[in-house]
Formats: sequence, structure tokens, C-alpha cells
Amino acid sequence: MTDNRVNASAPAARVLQRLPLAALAAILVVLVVVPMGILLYASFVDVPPRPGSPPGDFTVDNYAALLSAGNRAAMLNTLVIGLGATLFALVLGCGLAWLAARTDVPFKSLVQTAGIMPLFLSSLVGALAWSLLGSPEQGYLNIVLRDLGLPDFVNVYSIPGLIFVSGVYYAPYSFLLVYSSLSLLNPELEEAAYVHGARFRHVLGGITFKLVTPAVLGAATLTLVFIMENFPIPQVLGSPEGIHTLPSQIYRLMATAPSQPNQASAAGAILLVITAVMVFVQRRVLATREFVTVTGKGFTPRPRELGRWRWPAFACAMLYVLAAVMLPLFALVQSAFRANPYTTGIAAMFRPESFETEVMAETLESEELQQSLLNSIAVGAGAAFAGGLLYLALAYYVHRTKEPGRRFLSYVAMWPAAVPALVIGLGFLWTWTRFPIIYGTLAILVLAFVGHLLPQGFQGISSSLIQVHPDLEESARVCGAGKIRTVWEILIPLVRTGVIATMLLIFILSMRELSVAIFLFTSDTQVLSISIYNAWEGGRLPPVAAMSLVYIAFLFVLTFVSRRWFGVTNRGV
Amino acid sequence: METKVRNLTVKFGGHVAVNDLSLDIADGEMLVLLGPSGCGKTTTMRSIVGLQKPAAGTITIGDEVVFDARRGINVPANDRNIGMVFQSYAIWPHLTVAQNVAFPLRMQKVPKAEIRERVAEVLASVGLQDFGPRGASRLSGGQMQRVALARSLAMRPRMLLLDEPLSNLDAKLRERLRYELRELQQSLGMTAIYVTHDQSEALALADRIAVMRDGVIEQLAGPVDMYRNPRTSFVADFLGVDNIFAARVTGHRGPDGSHGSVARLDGSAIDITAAAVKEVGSPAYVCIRPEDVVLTPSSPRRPEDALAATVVSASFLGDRTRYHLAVEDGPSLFAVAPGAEDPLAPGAKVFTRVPPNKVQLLDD
Amino acid sequence: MRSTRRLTALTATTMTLCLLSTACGGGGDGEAVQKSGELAVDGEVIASAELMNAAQEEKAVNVYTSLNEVSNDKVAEAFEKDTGLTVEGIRAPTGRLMERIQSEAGSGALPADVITMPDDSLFQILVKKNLFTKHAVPADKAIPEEYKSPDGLYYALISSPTVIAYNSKAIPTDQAPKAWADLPKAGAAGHKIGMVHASQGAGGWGLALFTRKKFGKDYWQRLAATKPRLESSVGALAEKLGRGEVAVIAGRPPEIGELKEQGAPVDFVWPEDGTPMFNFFIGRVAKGKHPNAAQVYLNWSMSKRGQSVLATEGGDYPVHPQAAKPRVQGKELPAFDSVRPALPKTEDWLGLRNSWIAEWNTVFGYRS
Repeated sequence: MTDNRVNASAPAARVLQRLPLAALAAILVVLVVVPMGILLYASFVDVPPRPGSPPGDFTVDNYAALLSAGNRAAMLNTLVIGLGATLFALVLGCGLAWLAARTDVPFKSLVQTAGIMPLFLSSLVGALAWSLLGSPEQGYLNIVLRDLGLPDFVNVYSIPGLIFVSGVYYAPYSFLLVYSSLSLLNPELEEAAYVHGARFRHVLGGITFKLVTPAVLGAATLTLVFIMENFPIPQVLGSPEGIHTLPSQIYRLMATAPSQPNQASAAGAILLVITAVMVFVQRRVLATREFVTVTGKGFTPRPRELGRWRWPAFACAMLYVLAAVMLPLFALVQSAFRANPYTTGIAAMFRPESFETEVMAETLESEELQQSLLNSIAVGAGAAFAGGLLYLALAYYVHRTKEPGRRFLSYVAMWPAAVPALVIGLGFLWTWTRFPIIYGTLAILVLAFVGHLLPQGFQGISSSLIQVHPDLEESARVCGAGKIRTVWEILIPLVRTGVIATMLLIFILSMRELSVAIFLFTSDTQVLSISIYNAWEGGRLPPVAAMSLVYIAFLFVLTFVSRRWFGVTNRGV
Repeated sequence: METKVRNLTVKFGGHVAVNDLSLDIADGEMLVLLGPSGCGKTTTMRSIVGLQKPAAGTITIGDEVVFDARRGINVPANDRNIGMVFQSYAIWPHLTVAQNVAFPLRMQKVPKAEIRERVAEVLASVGLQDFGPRGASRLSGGQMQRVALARSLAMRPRMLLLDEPLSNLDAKLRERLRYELRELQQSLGMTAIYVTHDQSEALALADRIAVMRDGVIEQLAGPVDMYRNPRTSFVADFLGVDNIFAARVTGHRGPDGSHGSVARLDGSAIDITAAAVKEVGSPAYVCIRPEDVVLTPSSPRRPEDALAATVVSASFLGDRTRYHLAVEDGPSLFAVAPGAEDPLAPGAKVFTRVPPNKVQLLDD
Repeated sequence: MRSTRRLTALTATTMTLCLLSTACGGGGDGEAVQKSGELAVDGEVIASAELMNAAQEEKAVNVYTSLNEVSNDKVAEAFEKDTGLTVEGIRAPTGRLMERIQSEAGSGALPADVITMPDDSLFQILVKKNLFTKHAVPADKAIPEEYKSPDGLYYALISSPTVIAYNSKAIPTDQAPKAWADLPKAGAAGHKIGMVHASQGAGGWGLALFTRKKFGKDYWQRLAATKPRLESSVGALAEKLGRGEVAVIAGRPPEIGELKEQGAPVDFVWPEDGTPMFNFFIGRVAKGKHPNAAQVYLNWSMSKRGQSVLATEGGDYPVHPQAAKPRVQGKELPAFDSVRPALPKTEDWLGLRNSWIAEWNTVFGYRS
């Protein structure tokens, strides 16, 4: 203990003191800064950033090529689909959140579940299922409509279709944020408005949603960024009709031969700038709107009586479940359990003799599925543990010490939020091929996921750390516990649920991730989402559907287990 | 244990929270640090306990120097053996009451059997003998406060620091615990520092009060002395003097001012006579306690001392009545009339008089 | 650790498979006979005992390929059965594979021992990077000159045909186009045409080159006017044909055959005005970690045995004259010369590529 009594003014001691900062900063640099740096560099030179390539000459041609007339469509599409789908997702998410949190809608817990249900269908699986349902001519919905003598008008291979599907699968994020905010809102604030003569609609618009504006705004930016950087949906639903967004264009530039890595980097850089501006604006807006009224105190809010709108409201919620979960499941089951890919009509869908379990059995037994499921689990668990430790260390350093560099670290930790997943994958590819010990193993995927999910993980653990009043730790210090002892005996037990919840979230998100992995996997390290995507790209739809069903079942169990046992709710999303 | 604080300076970035503060606390003494929020009282206390690293100064507890900026000594909080009750109580919700109280003893590596004994003992001393196995998250505010106190006492600290320990409780409980706390401290002969912004708490509990302002001690005195002779209008204000007026000394009464000074209130033609003698022309604050304002319904015998006023509002408090008065062509004045008579109605005309020896002329 | 364990597991599985299949009487077309350690099938010597021993020390061969999944799996299966070696590596669409090879080769960390890819233009890039090493397979003398590289660095593996396929529920059989020249007409009549982007790989570019050479740019424009469905893989295209989302596609016989087998109302025709063909190439990576196993793989792939597997299981035309005829769902495909094969000139394939694909992208409103 005597060494503690000496002020750390000696140079050696000062170096020691800076060690945690240096270590954390180094990790962030490796995970975030270097891949981004390589990408930005590549976008300004004329030689691909592959290892062993010459440094190349400075050029802006990559940007010029992207900004040429025809390519602007992709940028415009990204914005139109992003904004449209965000609006749609917000309406869905806020509506469901309000119904579940503040009204007497029947089967409330079912409505609440409805809000998060689509989370276990990754956007890849959702898009695949909706391409089965809503493709022109032979989409299941069109077959049904035609059989019923109605016009077969459904077409998800269109901008409205993309907006619809993106909105449906990103609504849970607004739901989670707004729901938690609404259920923490002091109902007296609404009651005060009624007492002062406001009508229901004034209160809903002028008070309730105004008070949860930070949550709504946060959800809006988050959703917008997520949708704009989403790759599977435009790839699956947009490319058949030549509707491209920046992510699908990045993929196309990389996956068509000969690839154009420099242009892809430039497209990535543009996407990065757009999302970074969004995140920045959101932070500025939210910084000026710190409403203290939404407290952590528990309230039992008086539910709003919906009267004759109770059942219609419930029906709307169920319609959402139908669109987001039930119909896609139906389509996948159809595809996985029917031998003949061609469907003549409704009757053919339900004819028992066309039912076949061969594909499903083959898929379940295939080494590919088993190996990729194992890989997914290994990568997810690896990311959850490695990430959990890193995020905890980072959150502790930022929120619980007074060491220098805290603001910088928390700033860098939020960067990946603005970096599209596809771009992270590219950055990692070019950075890590130099290190064959890591590259080509599952470790590279773990690293990429840990980097990609840094904002969610850091925020998730931070929020549970912030909830622990510093007094609780300080009182342990006063009671004679050293720093490490305090962390171990007081802090860890108190944040345990939060940390586990965040780790599970990371696990689930890693399991769902496709875009990060698509440039990084090898045959040994193929994860489930990649297997599904590759099979889709090869046109093997029955195995795609079968694997998707396995995938859904797995995510379903995981999501509900974590919600039931560990209370994973809105942390970090 | 006797504690000496010398030239303590604490900085937060560029902001100086505590500025060159020196303070002695005698063994067994209860010292109250009183002041508005942001005056540096909590920071001073946190420096003593070791949760805040000061920029300069020394802190000595008994014979041990626990902090000396120049010699590079900074004993960490866990080695200082100072008890502290936090404003939020900081009861660990994942532990039981007994585990909470036992925690410091475990840290001191006290044998298990002895821990059990001492926990029971200290819980009994705060009246929580049956609460040991209870989960700490399911306690009322008052119970939490007692657990926090028990936890601090269990470690047999060299001194006890209390950071607004009663501020989260309702008024009645607060008053009761205040006495309990004082009695316990006195019976144990515990040296204690008590931080509060509540003057009545300070007066009731303290052996001495240090009123702090902007990081320095404005006045350090026993409660009676401080109440009678606040050194500045800031102290007076903090100790419940409601009538404070900016004024300027215009003259003296009696030969060579032997009967005191006359002060003219700023922005009015009202002169107030005070017993104290101050240099003519100097600015001063006229401070009058509401209970020292004498109300007379009829014209007084010496009209030059009296001020005509109108009752704006009256609040009947049982054993006394508190008035808000509007002085003619002058400021608002608060007065308290003892007794349970019927209060004067608003609008009633009264004359007010303050004996010169009750008028204090203070600096800012 | 992990990969070792996986390897052991794989080897064990392979060995079990071998045992099972020999127990069932061998099956398949060839019989892998290993007398005195020499690898020979049906009398054709594929690897000497010395090479086989060295290869078996290495245990596995790493193959980077963009062969379609079905063919690739069958080839790997047969090869593993014949040799006892394990096939590892990556199968990815040509573009993605190319990017990966270049990145990994640049860092000196390319795990591949053998690369199998279509498209001369891309393969030549790898050749120019000195990625490959010379290797003469035992069947070298049997292979026609046009399928061999002049410098001995690589071989053409197979020729892959592109045919016209249609869904008879979406377009009546009698209206289905019989020639490429009919495609724009069918499209104009409201039948959705599907094809692979010209920039996607050899198939897409091969077809674009063929139609442009034969019919001129006007053909592209008339086809583009029907707003065809553009897909990134011929597999995905076939799947959409099977579901009836598109009526007519430029496809490959094996995929159509499989759909037909599943009961989809699809069929294909050998176009009257020519069948565009493109070659897959195979080369041995100079710095591969399993040089001997790689030689065995190459020898095997170019042997009558390997070529027959590619033909009968993959439905592509072999380059070995004595190999089995290609088959789709058990039905033999017509002889190579009878389908009016159109193999583009290498200088056209390489020289026109960049400018014509750019034009194609403009005409079809598909830019990259």
C-alpha cells in the first residue's frame, strides 16, 4: 500500500498511468481507425489498396465516376428509400410503442411482443421471404390474388416495395427506443395537460410525443443510418429491377469482374460521410434537448382508453405481425417443403402430395449448415465475450475514471455507428490480409464484429454503468476497499445483468450480420448468413428457405431466452 | 480525532472549487460545513475522505499526514479509515443490510465471528436489530439512512463525514433523526464533519459552524455566536435573516456617534438607526431579523424611529404570526409577532420599529 | 488447433465415405485403383506412386473456384473418393473470388494451390502476376492444342454452353424463342426475359459479345427496350425461371434440367443461331502449400476420369476428347459440334471487353 502513497509524478509511474489509455486507444485504432483510413486512402488513389500494390497516384476520378449522371441514381435511391422507410418504420414503431405502453389495447403483451418480433428475422431473411411473397407475376401474394380473381399488382422489386420491406424490418428499433421512453414518462405531465383543457390529440401530439422527442429523434437517425447502409434488402429486392443503393453498388463494384475497389471505396466514403453527418446532426439536436422529465422512476401510468378503437388498434398491430413475420414464415415454409418451385395457384400451395421434407432433411444434415451454424455461434460468442470485455473496459474508463482522453475514446467508440457494415468489411479485408494468422480465421470475423458493434456495445454497457451511482463505488472505497476490489465486489455485481444483456445483444446482432462478413469469410469460416446468401446467389432457393427457417428458429430462441432471463430490451439499439 | 486542514485548494479544470482553505477540527467535535450548493463544502469533505485529489495543501488526521501536495503524499480513501454517509446513502442494493454493514469489516480482515457480533451491535445501536437479513433495496429512506450510518460506524472510523444525510427525508423524520444523530455522535465522542445547506440543521447539530462561500470559509464560529453576530450579510442571509437592505452610512447619533450610526436605504428616503458605529459614507447592509421588528398599531412615542407600513399578507403559524409588510415609500419588510392573538388583516396600517441594538450593519 | 481438428474430422468422414462406397461396390463411372500406390482409373495413370505418396503427406488440396456449386461438390466428392485427399478452399462468384485472390496474393497469403475460373481476361491478369507454375498433366497429349496455354501455365478445363430456356406456363412452348434472334420479339410480346449482367462473369460477357458480334448493337437496344430482368448469377436466374417470375432466360442446361426434375414447367433449346460457349481455366499456384496434392488435383481434373465427372455431373463439355459425353439429369447432351458452338476469339474477348461492357451498361441502364 505504500506505493499508493506516493504521488505518481515519476516518469515511470506516469507511463504506467497512461497504459490503460494507450491500450484502449490502440485497440480502437486497430478496430476502427485503420480500416477507415485505408478505405479513405483507397478512394483517392488509382490503385487498389491490396497488399503488395504500389501506393498509387492521387486522383479524384473515383468520385467523378460515382457522381456521373447514371450513378447519381444510386445515391438518390439511398436517400429516397432511407427517408421513406425511416418514416414508415417510425410510424409503425411509435404507433406500436404507444399502443403497448400507454393504452388499454387488448392482449397488451402480444402487442409488445409484436414490436420486437421481426428482430429474429434478419433483414436478409426478411428480404428473401418478401421476394418470394411479393415478386411480380409469381410472388405468392400475386398467385393468391389472381386465384381470387383480383389484379396481381404486388411488386416488391420497386422503390415502394423496398421502402415497405425496410420499414417493416427496422420498425423494432423505433419501437424499443420509444417504448422505453414512453413507459418512463411521468403520466402527471399528460394529466396536467388534460387538466389545463387539452384534448386527446393535443396531448398526444403536443405533450406525449414532444416529451419523448429525444427518443423519437434518436430512433429516426438510427433507423435512417441502418436503412441507408443496409445491403441485403436492396441487393435481394432492388437489383432484379436495377434499383441500386450505395451499399448494393459497393457490393457490385467489388463482386463484378473486374472489380473496382477504388470506386467501391469512394462509394463507401460517400456513404460514410452521409451517415456520419446524420449521426453528428442527431447528436447536436439531442444535446440541446436534454429533457429531464423522462426519469428512471417507475410509474404505473393510467392507460389511455381507446373505446371503440380498441379492437381496430389491435388488428393493426396484428397486421404488422402478419406482414413482418407470419407471411414471410409461410413463404419460407412453402419454399422449403415443396419440391416444385412452380406454383399454379392457392390449391397447389396446400396440396398434401406436393409437401416434401427432403430438402429440409438434407439441409439439416448437411455439413455446410452444421458447420456454418457452429461458426456463427462461435463468432457470435467470441464477439460477445471479446466485445463485452472491451466495451466494459472502455465504458469503465470513460465513465468511472478521471483519466485523460475519455472524451476522445467515447467519441471514437461511436464512429462505427456511422460506418456502413459493408465498408467495415472492406476495410478489414484490406487491412488484415497482411496478417494471415488472423485473416482467414474466425478471429477476423470476431474482430470485425467487435468493431462494427462497438457503438451498441459501448452504449449498452455505459447505460448500465451510468445507472450505478458513483456513490456506491466511492462508499466502498471509503469502507476500505481498493480500486480493483471495488470493481469486483460492487460494480460488477451491480452491472452484471446489464453486461450480460449487452453481450447477448452482441451475440444476436453478430448472428444476424451478413454485410460485415461477406468480404471476410473463407470456406472454413463461412457463417450461416453467408451460407444463405451464397445459396441465394447461386439460385438454390429451397435450401435458402430451409436454412433461413433454422436461422429464424435459432434467433427466436436466443432472442426470447435473453429477453426472458436477462431482460435484454433497448440496450444499445 | 483531531484533524488539520491547511491551505487546501481544489481545482476542477480551470475552476477553483476550494481556495486556500484552512480548518481545524477538534477531537470529538461536530463541525458543520454550511453553504449554498457550489460553495465547495462537499468538495472539502471529499478531499478529507480521499475521494477528491486536491491541487495543493495538507490534510492531517491525528498524527498522520493523509495528504500533502508538496511531498506527494496521497493516502487512498480505502486506507484513511474515515467513515462517510453519502447523500444518496449508497447502500449496495445487491447485498443484504448485514452484508452492507459487514463490508468495511471484511475489508479490515476482521475475523468472521467478530464481524457478526459487531454488525449486530451496530445495527442495534441504530435501531435496526431485526433488519440484518433483509435485502437492502427494500428499505425506506429512513432505514437506508440508518444502514448507511451503521455501516460507517461499524468500521470504527477515525472520523465520520456526513454529506447532507437527511436531505432526502421528509421534515418530521428529518427532525427526529437529527437528534438521534447528535446524541449518537456525542455519546461515541466521534469527530464528525457534517455538510448541509439547511441552517436549522446546522444550528441544531453543530459544535461549530463554518459557513462557506465560493470556496472559502466566510465565518467559523459556534452556533450561538454565529447566530448573534454574523460577520457578513451573506452569513446573515444564510442564517435566516429575512430583511437585508443595501444602504449607506449617512451620519452618527449622539456625540462622536456614541449612540450609533444612521444608514439610508438605497433607493429610498428611509433612515435606519443602528447601534454599531461605522464610518460615514461607507456602504453597508442593514440586516434585521423578522422577530426583532416591533409592530405597534398606533403612532409611537418617538415617531422618528418608526416607519408606517401596510400589511400585505399574514400567515398564522400557531405560536406566532409572520407578516409581509410594505413600508411606505420603502421596501418590503418581514416581521414575526409572537403569541397566538388574531393576526392583523391585510391592508391594516401599522407602525414598525426596530431597536437600534437589533439592527446590524454588515459588509457584503 | 481448430483447423487440425476439423481436418481430422473431415479426413475421417472422407475415409468413412470411401469405405462405404467401396463396400457398396464402388459405384460411379471410374474405379480408383491404386496398385503399388499409383493412382490410375480405368487404366489411365493419373499420378505416380511417388507423387501420390507425397500428396498424401500433404493430406489436402486448397482449390479456389467459381465453378457452380453442384458441379463443384460432385467434383470434390469424386476426387476425394479417388484419391483420399481432402478438398478445401473457397467457392465464390468469379468477381468476388478474383478480388480475394488479388488481395491475398498481394500479401503473400494466398492459401490456394489450384485456381479454377472462367473468363480469359481475368485469368490472364493472374497469369501476368506470375501466380501459376508450369505443369504438364499426363493427359497433356490427348488435350487439343486450343485448350492448352502456349506457355504450359494452365489448361482450359471445360466449355460451358449458354442456351435459351423458358417456362412453359409463362410462355407457350410454340411461342418460345428458338434462336437468340427471337429474344427481343418475345420480350416485346410481354414475356419477361432474364439474363446475367455482362459485367458479372464469363457467361454474361460471353453472351453479350456473341449477340453484338452477330446482330450488332441494335440487338442490344431492342432487347434492352423490353426491360429484361438482370441477375448476378445464372443460378438465381434459373430459380426465377422455375418460379415463373421470368419467362425466358439465357441459362445453362444443368440448372434447367434440375428444375425440370423438380417438376417445374421449364425446358431449354439449343439456339438455332449458335450456342455461345466460354471456357473455365485451371492452373496450379506456384507458391501453394500442397504442391504435390495440387499436381494430383490438376492431373485428375484433366484426366479422362475427372473430365467425365465434370461432363456427366456438371453438364459441361469436357476438353478431353475421350471423356464421357455431358449429361443433364441422366440425359446425354448433343455432341459438341452439333450445337453450333460459338467460342469467341481470345483477342475479341480480351480486347473488346472494357469498352463493350461500358456500352452494354449504358444500353441496359446498368452502371457500375
